[in-house]
Amino acid sequence: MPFRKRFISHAIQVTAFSIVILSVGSSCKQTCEVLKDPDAAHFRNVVASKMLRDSLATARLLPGMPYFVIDEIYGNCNPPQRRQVPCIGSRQRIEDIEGWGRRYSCPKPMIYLDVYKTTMGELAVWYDFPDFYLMNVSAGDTLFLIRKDDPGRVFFSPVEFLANAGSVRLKEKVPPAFRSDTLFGEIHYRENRDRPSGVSYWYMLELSSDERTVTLKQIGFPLYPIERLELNGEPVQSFRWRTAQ
Amino acid sequence: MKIKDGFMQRGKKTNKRIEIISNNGDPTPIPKSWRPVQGSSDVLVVIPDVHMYIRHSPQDNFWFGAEALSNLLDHVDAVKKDLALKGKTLRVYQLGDFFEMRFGSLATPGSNSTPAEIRMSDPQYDLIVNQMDYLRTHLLYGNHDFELRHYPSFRFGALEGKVYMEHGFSPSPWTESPGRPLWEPAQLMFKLEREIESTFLNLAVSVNAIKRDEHFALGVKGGETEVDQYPDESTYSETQKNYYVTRLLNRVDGPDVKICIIGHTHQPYMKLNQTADGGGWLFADAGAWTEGRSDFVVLTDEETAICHYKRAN
Repeated sequence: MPFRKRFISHAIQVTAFSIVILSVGSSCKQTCEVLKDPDAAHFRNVVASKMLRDSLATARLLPGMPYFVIDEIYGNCNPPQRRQVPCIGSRQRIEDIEGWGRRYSCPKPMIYLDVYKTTMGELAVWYDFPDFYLMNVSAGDTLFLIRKDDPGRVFFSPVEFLANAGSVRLKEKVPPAFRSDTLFGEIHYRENRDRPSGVSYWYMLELSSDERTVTLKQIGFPLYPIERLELNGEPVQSFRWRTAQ
Repeated sequence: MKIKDGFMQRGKKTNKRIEIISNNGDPTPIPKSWRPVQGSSDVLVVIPDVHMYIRHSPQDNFWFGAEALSNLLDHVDAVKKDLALKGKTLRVYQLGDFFEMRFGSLATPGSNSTPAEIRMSDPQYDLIVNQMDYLRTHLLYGNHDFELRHYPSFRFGALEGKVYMEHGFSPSPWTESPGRPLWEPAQLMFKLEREIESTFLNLAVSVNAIKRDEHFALGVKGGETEVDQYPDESTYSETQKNYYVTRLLNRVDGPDVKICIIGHTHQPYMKLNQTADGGGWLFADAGAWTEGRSDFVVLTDEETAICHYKRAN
């Protein structure tokens, strides 16, 4: 083979090999490895649900868990954009524009989407700012209060009415044993088509002095509940971030 | 209502992080002939420019005072609830430039930052916005978050009885006053300059020349050092003061308006001019929560003061 042909052939092989190496390298860089398991003690301080605690122990992410769980698993490896979207399940970014390309969006976004490229595929996580209007709570639904130090002890009462987006009034008085700085609660819906599980989880509730009005404590996004998970575009009930040991 | 008893103190406990900086540390009495100065409220708390930007960008300097603002909002919330039990109303106003939207976005290079990107850059930032929302804060827009005027809760100015409030960019030059003919290209150049600056800062962070939490932004003083002094009054912008005092004298904002509170300059300033016939004016610049400052104005029907909120040690 003449030298010119051999040179071109080698150059093509080297270029192709480099492209393959570079593409493998870049794709490896984009895939998220598990950084660390979520802090179980922190989780127990926030969440009293036995089901959610058991799921965390078996390395299984579930809707209903607070956002800091996924943030601790993958957050720093591929910083999420925390995309503001119109509803749970939507991937449409909300944005407007004016003037010479100046973008803006609602300063009070309610629903967010993070997308993580994991070794199992693309994981989409929707989470939202929790308030009683947004989560479709209504009179007749039941609030369960569960003690964080003793998840076996439960108090429940029907919701009498919604005072506003941040507080509900119960039919029954909350007994002294369940009064603490912050309460963990579950709302069990009579009917809620948007929430097939029929349950929503509330990590930071406060009891007013009348002992019947439960209000939401102001929180930042680490305590927003995860609402929906999709793996490779398909809804999933849970996501296992590592094989349980 | 007295500020020291009714606002700084709850029960027998005084919030020692609140320090009056105007009028040599004492509240300025509202002239008796003006009272009451508020409409349907009893206490106004006015929070000036915050310039919250993306946390961990070296161009953000609000975070040095973020804990102080969150703590102040907790205090205001508690006072508001106390007053509500006595049938009194406390209202909170934010004078605009809450978000720094003139700087570039980190998530979408080439675009400006958005409120969602800024507030979601740090849990405490998100918490502060939620706290303000929970307090039913009345929101004005400034020149750095001018786009927020599209949202129903944001206004240019507000009137509370004899008190008029706005951000304070009206008398500013074309580079700072939205709507002026060359404002758009000026903002584009400004953003470009910030993006170039950001590129070099990120480079400096990556080679450990600076820390990510150190503040560097051309023309913006760092917030690392707490600034609690009331500046020399002679250094305050005469243009700014004359513009708003002239409006007060000409009764542009209403026939009974005696008090004007603005932000924008980042320099706290308060001047009372009382005439013998019961007239006069009071002009106040509430200061800022950037460049090391953490100022706000408290106004009751009896007194007013510019306060500094101390950082936690």
